[in-house]
Amino acid sequence: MGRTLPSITQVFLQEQESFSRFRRALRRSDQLALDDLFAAARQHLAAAAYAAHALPFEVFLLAMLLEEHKEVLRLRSLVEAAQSNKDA
Amino acid sequence: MSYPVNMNLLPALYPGRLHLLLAASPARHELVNTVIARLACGGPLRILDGGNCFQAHRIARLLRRQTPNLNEALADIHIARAFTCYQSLALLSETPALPLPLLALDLLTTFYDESVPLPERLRLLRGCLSQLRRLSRRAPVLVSVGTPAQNQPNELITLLEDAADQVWRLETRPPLEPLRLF
Repeated sequence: MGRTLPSITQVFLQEQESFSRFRRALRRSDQLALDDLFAAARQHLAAAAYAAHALPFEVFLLAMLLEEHKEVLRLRSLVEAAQSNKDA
Repeated sequence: MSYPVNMNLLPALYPGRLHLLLAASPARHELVNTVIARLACGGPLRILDGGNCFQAHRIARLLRRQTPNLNEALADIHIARAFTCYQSLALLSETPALPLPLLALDLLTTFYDESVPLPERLRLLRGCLSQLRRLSRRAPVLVSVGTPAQNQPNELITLLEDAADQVWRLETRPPLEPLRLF
């Protein structure tokens, strides 16, 4: 008896592959940004597997958004720290 | 009552008829996924997966395009998997004849197991066909099979084709020869 569903890594690679034509049409800087987004989603494959969502790509998108939001929070704290230093 | 499958390639499925889809792998799976998604939007259906080929994620994606109630539609799909030809017959025998569409996916895959003698496989397949006939009296039944490889016996698919009321055969076009200028 084999797997009844592909592993989350297989699904992720399939999804990434399905955007290969889109990626090819982007300019180089945008390709790198897109690769960063997929790399961000890849960090959360274990959580995506645990979620067992019917539409895994939605989880990948959320994982990308999560990493982006973490970056926003990090930058916000930097700006706030710089602002407080400036005020002081 | 017919179960409309609103596609250009496949006509409606009717109770009392045993439908057979014979096609090579990518096209077969794509067609079957579309049929499953269409039927699941209309109500419950049963699937017997003989080739471990039920593509849940792909079907979920197709369903999402057709209905906002994805989880309800997915819950209407009742799937059972068989990993041997004996299990295929047992599953079909235990399936009650309800007015719900039944799809037997890659039915012959388990019958290509060479560790079971061919006469035994033929006997089991006849039993499966008898059960499919019983189930098709109240609901449409669609059986999908792939084109057999060269080393696989043709008797099995011939038996299935003879038993089917309607056969849809999708043949892939041979690769075109490159054009020559001269």
